[in-house]
Amino acid sequence: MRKLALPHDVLMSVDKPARYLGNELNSVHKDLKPGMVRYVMCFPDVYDVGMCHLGLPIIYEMLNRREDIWCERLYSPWPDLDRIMRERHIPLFALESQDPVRDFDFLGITLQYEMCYTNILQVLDLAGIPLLAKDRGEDDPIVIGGGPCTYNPEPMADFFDMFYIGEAETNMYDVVDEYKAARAKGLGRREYLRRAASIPGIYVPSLYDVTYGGDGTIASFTPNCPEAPAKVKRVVEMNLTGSYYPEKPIVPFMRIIQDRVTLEIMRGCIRGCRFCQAGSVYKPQREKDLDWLMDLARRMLDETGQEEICLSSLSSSDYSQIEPLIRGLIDECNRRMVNISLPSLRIDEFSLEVMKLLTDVRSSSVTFAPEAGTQRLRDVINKGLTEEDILDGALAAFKAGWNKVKFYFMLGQPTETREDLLGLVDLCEKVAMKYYDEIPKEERQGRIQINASSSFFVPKPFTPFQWATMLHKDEYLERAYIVKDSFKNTRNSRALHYQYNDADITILEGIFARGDRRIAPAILEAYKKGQIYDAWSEYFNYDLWMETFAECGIDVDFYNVRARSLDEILPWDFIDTGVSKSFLRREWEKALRGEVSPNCREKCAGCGARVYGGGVCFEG
Amino acid sequence: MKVRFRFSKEGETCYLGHLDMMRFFQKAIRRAHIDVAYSQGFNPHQILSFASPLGLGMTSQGEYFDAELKSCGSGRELLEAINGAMTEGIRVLGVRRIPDEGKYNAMAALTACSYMVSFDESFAAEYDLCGMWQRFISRDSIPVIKKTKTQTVETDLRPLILDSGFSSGKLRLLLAAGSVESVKAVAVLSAFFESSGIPLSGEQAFKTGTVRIERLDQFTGDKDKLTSLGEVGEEI
Ligand code: SF4
Repeated sequence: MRKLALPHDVLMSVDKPARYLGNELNSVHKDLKPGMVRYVMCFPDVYDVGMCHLGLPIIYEMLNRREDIWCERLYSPWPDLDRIMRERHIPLFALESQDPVRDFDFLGITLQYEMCYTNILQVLDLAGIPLLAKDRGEDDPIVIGGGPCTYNPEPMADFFDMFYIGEAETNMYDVVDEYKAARAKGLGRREYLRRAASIPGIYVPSLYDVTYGGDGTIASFTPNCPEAPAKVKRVVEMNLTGSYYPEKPIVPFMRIIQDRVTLEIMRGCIRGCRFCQAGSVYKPQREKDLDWLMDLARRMLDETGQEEICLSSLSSSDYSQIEPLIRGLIDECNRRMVNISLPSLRIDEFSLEVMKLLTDVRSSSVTFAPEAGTQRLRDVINKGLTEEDILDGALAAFKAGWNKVKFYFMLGQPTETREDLLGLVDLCEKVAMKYYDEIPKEERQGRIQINASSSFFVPKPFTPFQWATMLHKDEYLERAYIVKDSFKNTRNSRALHYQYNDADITILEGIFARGDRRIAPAILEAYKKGQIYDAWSEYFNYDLWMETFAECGIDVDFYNVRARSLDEILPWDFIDTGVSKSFLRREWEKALRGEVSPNCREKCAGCGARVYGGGVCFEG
Repeated sequence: MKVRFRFSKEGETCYLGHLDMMRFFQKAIRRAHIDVAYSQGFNPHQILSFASPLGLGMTSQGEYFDAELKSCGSGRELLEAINGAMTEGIRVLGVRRIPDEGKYNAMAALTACSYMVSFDESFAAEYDLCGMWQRFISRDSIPVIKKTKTQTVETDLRPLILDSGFSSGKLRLLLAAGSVESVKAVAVLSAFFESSGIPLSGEQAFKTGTVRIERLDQFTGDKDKLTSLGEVGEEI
């Protein structure tokens, strides 16, 4: 039997010890052989959250297929264990082998959301790895970052040896092979990093120098060695059918947030919502073959015994074979008594028909994400969803027996006015009236319930809105109050519910999303003050952050509310995502004029992603 | 038909909670393609019922759940199928068909549980545990104070310890369990330590690893005529 890293008394005193065992079904355990490369993949949040994520299992599968690599998992210890590990000097360990993380060759960390940044420092610290990349020595693992936040990795650049920009399937093996070659030649860490810098998709922050002008903006951003390219190209897997996929997903013992198998049906999105980073940085849309997906679904259900399967994509309705896929899955899953979960389906005749088969109409709701309250603002953000679509969809849902509707909105988008805020309430009310006007009393299933929720918009790199200005915290809240008050004064106020997300987190996300290298000292300082688990409201501390920015001489407004000029060098300009800056600029200008752009299937907007040579760009 | 599964839980699976085990078996039954019956409705679930929950940190040789099956082959086939879907530390030791009536339900029928308590070496070296136990168990009554939110009541533990024995440094306990009268192994240890002048609660000793507790089996029937839950019913 393996030896556990945590002694019995520790496991007995922490909440949910199953988080730290690493013995789940389908977890990969190997015998250590000389020369084996040891890789640990970290999701810097608690197990319950991190285990729901699809990206890590893809890399886990890919790396573990090779006999000379053992890839293990790592999640952030919950604060109760964090305290004990510090008190008792227990080093952070990888789950499968229970060996100290510091003994590994690579520590891969996924940056899924900005609010996990302090947790990354927690992981490094508990592992006994110097927090700053420049302080690391030959015995420390190579710390490599990946995931959506690497489209502006700069605030975290000081803490990482390298970032992998793009999809792991393409060049992850090269990263390891280059390491093996360097090790065989007796080359040190710095030499390896230089060599790795020439692998497409690899960004080694220490190989670039940044200078700033008098106005605080970036004056230059240049490589300081020949191996480092001036532009780091995002790498993209163009052939997803048959590519690496967790065919035997790990089955957690404990209850996690979403305990189910996930079937990724495509990557990328044909739509061009101007606020959406995922829609931009995963272009072009690439679909997986229907038969392959059906086969994968069967195998994953056989290997896990899971009770639910979930389709994953940015907009499932745009998968060209969505009908045969869902019908096939319904057949397969009915036989197995397996539930199907279909997020991101547009409400239409087909989706209502299948939802009726799959869910209890009386307790479930139909969901719309218009994001903005008026057609004018929906045109600005290029959300191709009209009021008519919503009213027709809602009516069809009411006729099919639904009486609960959910709405998602975003407040604080560029050009938003009071009319747009009131328009949002208006839209909800129109949907409520539709119910009472069109559904005869005797057919109604009780009162209509509308739940609207809003978050505040955060401009993201590589979107047309990357130049947008944010608002101050009190201005965000003011907008939410306008909406809230207006909801209270509607005729159907008892049927309409509204809630808004916190503005505190928005400010932090804003500065991390578009910050530069000068933010890092504040992240380090906040961590040293004890800040971790910022994504959890019970641990997030807005005042501490603001105080820390002030102490570090960082002006939050410079990053959030300053108007950026179109020719400013942005911290993330060194990344080439395939989508050109001139396209983003055109879209930004169109947005300000309230003009819409077609989706990829209607007409190619010439974003630039065609250079990848496949996907939707070459469909017709 | 109702089938009772007996399983063991060893090694690090002792840190998995009762609900984790239920989820584990629901998935294992699917992986093993066992023809289990499901409830009706939009979220059908397998018709399973588990016997008394095992405390976190304990291992066991005698855990049980009953499943409603629509069909199955021989007992051996069923055992092989389910064990093909197990993971290290968990094994199904036996299956038996049990009568349908509710009174045979694993939880409802429970009257006693047996445990094996082992002691940390240095702790065992410090005390004459065997002698101390003989003195403790020969008392006519073992009054303990139970505190609830509203009141404190005195109960006698002695009649709830149905049998016990010390051999090779390990303490075997047979304790009343189930809905009528029951006592936990750690509570017995607490009383034992207190009356023997050992400054430790059973809970502390268990959590720190000074004592390890393994459940051996669970029983049904009267005190003087106990039957293992695993011997009820017939072979398949
Ligand atoms: S190049 Fe055209 S079709 Fe391809 S992703 Fe860009 S806009 Fe869509």
